[in-house]
Amino acid sequence: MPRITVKTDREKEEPVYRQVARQVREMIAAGQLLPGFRLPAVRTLASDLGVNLNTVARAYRVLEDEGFLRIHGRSGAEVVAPAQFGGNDVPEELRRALREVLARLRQAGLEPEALRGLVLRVIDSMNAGG
Amino acid sequence: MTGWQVWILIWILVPPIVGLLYLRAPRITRRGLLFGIYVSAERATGDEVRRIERRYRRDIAIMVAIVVGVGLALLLPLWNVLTARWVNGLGLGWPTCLLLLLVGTQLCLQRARRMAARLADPQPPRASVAYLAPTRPGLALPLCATLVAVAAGLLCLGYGLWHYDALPEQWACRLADDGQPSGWMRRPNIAIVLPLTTMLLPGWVGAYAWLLARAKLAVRVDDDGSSLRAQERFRKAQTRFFSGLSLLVTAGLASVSIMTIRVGLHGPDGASPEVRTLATAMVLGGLVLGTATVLYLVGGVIYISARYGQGGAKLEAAASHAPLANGLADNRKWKFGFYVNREDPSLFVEERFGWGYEPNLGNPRAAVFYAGGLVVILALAAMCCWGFLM
Repeated sequence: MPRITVKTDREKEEPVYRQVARQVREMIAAGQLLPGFRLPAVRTLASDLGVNLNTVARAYRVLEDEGFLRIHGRSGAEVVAPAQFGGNDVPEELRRALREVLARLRQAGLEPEALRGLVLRVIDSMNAGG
Repeated sequence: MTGWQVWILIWILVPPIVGLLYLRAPRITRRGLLFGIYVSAERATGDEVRRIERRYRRDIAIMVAIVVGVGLALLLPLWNVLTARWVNGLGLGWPTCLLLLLVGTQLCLQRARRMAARLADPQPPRASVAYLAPTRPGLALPLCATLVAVAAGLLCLGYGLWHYDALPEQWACRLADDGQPSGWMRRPNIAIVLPLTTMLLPGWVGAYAWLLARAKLAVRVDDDGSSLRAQERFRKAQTRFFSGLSLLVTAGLASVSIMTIRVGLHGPDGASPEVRTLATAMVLGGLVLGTATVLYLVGGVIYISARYGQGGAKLEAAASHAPLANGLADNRKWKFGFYVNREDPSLFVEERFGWGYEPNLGNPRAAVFYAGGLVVILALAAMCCWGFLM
């Protein structure tokens, strides 16, 4: 069993449920959590983190809506296999989210070549499990 | 050795044993905790901490000496010098010593806690850490222990009710040297209360072991998984220990229940040879199982604390400089040694000073579980009194 942790920081601006969702999302994208992996029950994870049940439940719901998890009621959630589609079939919602991020990076001063390099580095780090 | 002599032995031995356990307690605590206060790993060593620990050890030693002294002072008048025998009468001696011991140890602990509070880490912990796939202890053994307790209790209750009309109102449970009865048992207590005790008391211990297997993990931040491994092993040991305790207590209470009814079916005065044999077997069996249970309890506590430390403290030594995450490290959520956190859905959390786990009193379910245990004990005590009054 992988010894994978989720860490939360109460002093960050980012809400705790988003911190949990982000980390789980990144671990799934990096291949640390494979399809079929069962995440702990909401109560168990909330107990270990010392947070409210609703916080973890909300994180799981966000990930289910995004297609990362399938929730199994009280027994936890399961990682879902990624959808299979080609480059032209990417849902419009995801394209829009990508354009927003890229626009913000451009506005922050990154030139197109630097932007391309950054995107490739992030993909490489995800593939490397980092 | 008579029962009376056993009591004297217990009277003399219990204070030093309890004192030793309290003396050992600071040594088995997780690094960063000082008498139940989180002071952080950096402040856990240092002159001030050593001074507090020395003061605590001295207080415990003085308290144990006082209790033993009071015990001897109350005991000696019971020794008849002329006949070189003990006068049969416990009086108020052992309850006095027990109360003195309980109050004394708590006073010493509270004093050390007040001194440690000056070093408390004022900042609540920022980080929480949870593992997504920790190894949890199996539930089969504690579930089995609970079911065995319930089944044994129902069996004894059924046996008692089946023979209820054939049993006398009361019958001899102890014979003096001249063969005459010197102690009595009442029918409602043996046929009903004792079987219910057999079902409820070890059943509650088995349920406790079952819930412990799912207790909150208190890991450290950014260690290499040492604290998780330590926690897993400690919880497994605790779950097995309490499951074994439940089974032992079930065996003891069930055998006493059945044998006592068998004795009663032979008549009220216990004069026949068959009854004497049965009663002797019952007493011996009860002594053996009772002694085994006490040895298991004391030995288990000492073994687990020596081998693992509280919460696996001894197994995570290499990573013990890493900060503890939430729960144990949040001083705001601990009031007078009790964990109270309404936002935390945990039922049980690790003790910050001492041994084992304690309930999260901010969780109504944990409070109900403990209140349920208290209600069971009070109800059984009330029924026992009712049995004597009937």
